[in-house]
Amino acid sequence: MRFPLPRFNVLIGALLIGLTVIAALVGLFAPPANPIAIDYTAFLAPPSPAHPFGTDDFGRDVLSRVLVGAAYSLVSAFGTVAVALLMGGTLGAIAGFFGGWVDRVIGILTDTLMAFPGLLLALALISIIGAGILPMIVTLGVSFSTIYIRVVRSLVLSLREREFVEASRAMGNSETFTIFRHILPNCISSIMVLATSTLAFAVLAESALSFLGLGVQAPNPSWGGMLADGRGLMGQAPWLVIFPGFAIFLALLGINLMGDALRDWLDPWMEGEA
Amino acid sequence: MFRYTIFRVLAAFPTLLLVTILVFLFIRLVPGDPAAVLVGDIQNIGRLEEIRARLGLDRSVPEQFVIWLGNILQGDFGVSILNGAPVLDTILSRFAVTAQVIFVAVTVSTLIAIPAGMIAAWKQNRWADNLIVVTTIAAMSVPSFWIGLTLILIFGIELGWLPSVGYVSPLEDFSRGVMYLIMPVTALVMGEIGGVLRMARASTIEVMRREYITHARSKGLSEGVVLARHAFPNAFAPTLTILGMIIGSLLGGAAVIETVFTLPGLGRLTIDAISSRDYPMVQGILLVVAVIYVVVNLITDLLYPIFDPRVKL
Repeated sequence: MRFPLPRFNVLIGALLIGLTVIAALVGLFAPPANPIAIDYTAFLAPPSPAHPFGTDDFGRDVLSRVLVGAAYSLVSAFGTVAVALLMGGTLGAIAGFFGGWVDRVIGILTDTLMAFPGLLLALALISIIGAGILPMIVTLGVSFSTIYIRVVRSLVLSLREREFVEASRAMGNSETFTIFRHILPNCISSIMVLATSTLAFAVLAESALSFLGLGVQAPNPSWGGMLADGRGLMGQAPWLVIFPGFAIFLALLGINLMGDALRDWLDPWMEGEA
Repeated sequence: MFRYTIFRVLAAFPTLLLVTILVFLFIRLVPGDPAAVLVGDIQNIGRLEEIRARLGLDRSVPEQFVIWLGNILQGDFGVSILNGAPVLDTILSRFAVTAQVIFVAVTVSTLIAIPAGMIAAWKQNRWADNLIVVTTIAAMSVPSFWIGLTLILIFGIELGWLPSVGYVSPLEDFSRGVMYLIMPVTALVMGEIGGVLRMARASTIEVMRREYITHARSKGLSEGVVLARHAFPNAFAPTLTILGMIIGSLLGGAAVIETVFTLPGLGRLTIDAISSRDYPMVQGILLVVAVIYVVVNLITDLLYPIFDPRVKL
């Protein structure tokens, strides 16, 4: 039995990403209730028509908090990817294009930063600049930039010697024109694939850091923070951990399905693989 | 083989040196007098003077680095601001817990993911493959700490089968220790298995297209022998690299799962040290984890030629 799995996956992925974006917009502009308004009359209320996802131990509406959490999650994830892309892309392009000692210095820096695994680099930087959404975006962006440095460098390195780049030079175009007109457009598909996969890591890292209390700060809602707050009460109020957890899962599932499809379409190195 | 080993081991040294320089500079990035940062209590003039003298803070920065590195090499990582305990001793005793969890989780992930990935590749685009691909993507989309919380909710609170939080060393009381490890290990396995599965499947698909597989099949070998003798050894090498990376991400990400299950591991120590501004501890953890990670990568690189003899230098 053959089944058009890839096309089905794209559809589900697009739906889930769309759902997350809509959730974020509703949370920002028209939340069903104020996500940080404390209401002790509705203390730990189970899901009901008034509060479809129940309320937490401050009587806050969990649905509204999940919706606003989507906005925080998307803003931090896209911010992280933007920082990583800007920093990694620039350093990688410089290393690949100029080569020589510039390349070697950037290479050594990248190798050294890569010796700090996973979240550790972000955690160390947060210990210096403090917790919060902006420090989190910057530190995660710096940690993720190493992979962009490597990928963009190798892309630029391989493109630099191609005929169409030499032809552009031979025609008397300036280096800047050659970079922007011929080298960058040819990097975009690979960078898109990389960006989608780091977007998933960024959503995961944001929820982890907020869970640890180092990301989005209370009383602002974040999925990770809601899981941390609901942890002690989940025996009596399981909705406190079920809904934010599902939100993370669905958002990540959407990004990962989309990322896989993009990889199949765009990544020249994976050609022919299902 | 011998030359490759020597070359790889020597190549790790510059990285290690740069890591130590970066960790040394880390304390200097913290605003304020490094001695005050390391003592944590600016009222304690006696300790401040002692630290200044011991770290040579009146000398030039390169001299300070040499003094600091000398102390590190003698196992003197300084003392914790919080409780005055030697940093290295604390880190090593906490690392023992994290290492156990990571070791079991990575072993279990490998034992499940590699056969499953190979089956998926073997039955490419059939229902078994589709099922495994969908499971992979789902597994990559679930945060391990949410799985951990859900496991606690089901097996700890509702059913009461397993202890929800805490830790007993399996070395002291094996059966009780295992009970405490089941849920954290399951959460980590479900969180990390996706990456290994995907790599095992992709590299097996790659290998199955090769001529020697067609040749082995046309010799009349059974599919089992083709997979075990010809596909597995060639497909395993790339997966090994992913395993090294996963050990690294678990070292860095242990904080979350250790918080969920209140395990007294290195990750929990890191978070506590960060929130209490225990900079000597943070510095020690950075150094120890980076060194362990460099060594793990070195070991996977050294194992690589055993599985893929084409890799030679």
